[in-house]
Amino acid sequence: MTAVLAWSQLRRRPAGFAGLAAALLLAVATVTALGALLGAERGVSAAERGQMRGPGLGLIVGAFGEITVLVAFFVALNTLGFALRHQYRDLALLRTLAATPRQIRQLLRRQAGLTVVLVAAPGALLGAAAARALLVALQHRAMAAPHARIHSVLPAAGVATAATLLVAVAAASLTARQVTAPAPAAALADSSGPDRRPGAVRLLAALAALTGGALLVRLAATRPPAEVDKAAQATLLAALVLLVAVALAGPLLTTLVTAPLGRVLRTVLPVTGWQADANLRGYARRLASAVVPIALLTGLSATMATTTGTALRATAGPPGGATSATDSWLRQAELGLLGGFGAIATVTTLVTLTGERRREFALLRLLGATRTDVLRVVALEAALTAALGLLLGGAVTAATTGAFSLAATGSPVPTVPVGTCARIAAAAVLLTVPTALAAATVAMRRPPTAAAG
Amino acid sequence: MNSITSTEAEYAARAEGLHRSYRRGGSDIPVLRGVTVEFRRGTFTAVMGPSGSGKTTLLHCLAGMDRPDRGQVWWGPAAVHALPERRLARLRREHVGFVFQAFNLMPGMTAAQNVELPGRMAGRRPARTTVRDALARVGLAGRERQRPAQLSGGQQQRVAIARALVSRPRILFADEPTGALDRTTGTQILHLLRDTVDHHGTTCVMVTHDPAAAAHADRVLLLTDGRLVAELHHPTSHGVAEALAGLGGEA
Ligand SMILES: Nc1ncnc2c1ncn2[C@@H]1O[C@H](COP(=O)(O)OP(=O)(O)OP(=O)(O)O)[C@@H](O)[C@H]1O
Ligand SMILES: [Mg+2]
Repeated sequence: MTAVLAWSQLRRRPAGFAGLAAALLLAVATVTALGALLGAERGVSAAERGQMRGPGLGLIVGAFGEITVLVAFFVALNTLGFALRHQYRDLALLRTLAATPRQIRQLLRRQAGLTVVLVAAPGALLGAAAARALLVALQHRAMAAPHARIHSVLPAAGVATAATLLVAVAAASLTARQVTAPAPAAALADSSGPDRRPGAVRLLAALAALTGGALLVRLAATRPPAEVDKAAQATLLAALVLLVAVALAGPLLTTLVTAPLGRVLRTVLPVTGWQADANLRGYARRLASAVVPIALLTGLSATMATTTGTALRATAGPPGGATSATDSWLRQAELGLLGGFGAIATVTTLVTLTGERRREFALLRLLGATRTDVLRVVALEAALTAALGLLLGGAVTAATTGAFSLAATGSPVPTVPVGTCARIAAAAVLLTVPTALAAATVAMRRPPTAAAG
Repeated sequence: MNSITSTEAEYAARAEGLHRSYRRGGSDIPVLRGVTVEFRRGTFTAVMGPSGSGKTTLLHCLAGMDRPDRGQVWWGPAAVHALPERRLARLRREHVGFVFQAFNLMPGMTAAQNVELPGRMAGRRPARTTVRDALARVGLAGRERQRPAQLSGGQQQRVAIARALVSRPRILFADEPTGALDRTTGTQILHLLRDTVDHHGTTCVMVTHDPAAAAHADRVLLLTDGRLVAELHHPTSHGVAEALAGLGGEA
């Protein structure tokens, strides 16, 4: 029964699964590409390998893989949450029709599994192509042996699919709790998902992540100058762990930050600002889920860019010069990939959150707001969301790169690549506001009398 | 005084030859088939009829929330059918209050914020006491800061009524405002509507399935298959029930 239901839900709401599919596709592709690269120097002589510049293929893949794989799965979890949100009402209804929590979990696991199966082949193909392109680029920079080549990608693709399947299914079981935890009637009454205060467990987890992040920051700050590489790794990891803390404490943090921001907004824009403020306050959790991917995207990229900038300044000299150049090229590539994941998460989140406000928009229009009035509120809310994400991402960046700078240069003030950071901030705003506006426009396509009531 | 201005002065709203159909499965299903109706200022009208007869659709057209395929709607001198969207939205905000059959409230806003909303959109800031009084009038004193999810269906409906009343609309449309309420609360709401009609000169148009509720109105209109088929003045609960039974539909 659940298999049929899983499939019919996928077919009925393909849009709800688009973000999940994209994230899982990218996850399969990333793991496939990294796996294929790892095997590329098989059969190449040790002598030839020794002549290469840079840290060697294995280490490059390792450094590249660590963060991207973590982010890939973080994003997969996030998009899975939204796939669930899309069908929250259907699932709640199923529960009132006496579906057991187990059946609901099974349904969601099947959906996640089915999605992985659907994206496995295209993901593997994409991964293989990416591995080839990356190898050529590395060989071009003399960072990989000229005789290295991508052998069969099948084993790597197999491992990638299996790993993604495992993570997706486990994540589905976790997210299922959102529907199975409340009593059936309560779940049904709360048709777009609960907006409760964060539970104690969540706050404890956030506190644990915060502590872990702080320890990593200290670790990074106390590395001697000779261990700049280690400091850089600790810095990135610290950023990731702190961002997880932000994600966990999201609803609480956004409530704290929105209150003063909202007061300003209401004073400056008594109509649009008042509405945006009221909506954002009433939906701390909705706001938090939109803020988190933006904080993730901007926090990680800015940390990476600033770390590279600071390291370049610290090691400016002939021997380090070449290494740093290729190193920063690698960072750029990694930045691009992270940007891709961040963009998927942000767009999925915003499209879902805005789309499910269809009835709200209809109601506003029936109460005498024009389409433009509604879009103005949506744009303001999106801009605020982006600003909050930037603020949180920026705070994480400041903490982690300050520590790195202390280790690398002795000064807690890092070298901030202003241009790159401005581009990152611009990308976040440009991704957020138009996406929300487009989703709201689609949500208002039907006449309001048909959408409300 | 010529006849046009006297009509404008006399009627808060009127409609002429309203037609509205919906596309379903490739063909047009008519829902309203030529409804002509007038609402005198300061009167209370109940619209009744079987489920699916077009009551909600008629109310939406009269309130300028839906555009009829054919026919005209007037609010006093304003030709609603000819207004562009933006001007219509503004006019509606000032003249018309509406209580919907379902989904009345912004889920993210508190009860008080929901009541404030139309005033805010019109660029005013309703006084806190006005909002509090409006909520108190519908029996929701002290509930200002609660959000819709924390209120019962009937309480949500009452917030919507408070919101509709607070802006003192000239015409108030209410789609089954007492449908989700117990008899006592329902009667309270009906007295409230009656009171705004009698003391503030509001024109009220209400859809209901309940003959006892309809008896609070000055007049009852019966709608069947998108046509007005009967009109009762000074209705009694008993008379309305009989007229409905005569339609052969409603229980
Ligand atoms: N957006 C729409 N698209 C298609 N058909 C619609 C739409 N809205 C209403 N209808 C149809 O129009 C008819 C009249 O609907 P309406 O909501 O006006 O009925 P009603 O008299 O208010 O019924 P009830 O007493 O059940 O509320 C129904 O058959 C309904 O299915
Ligand atoms: Mg109706």
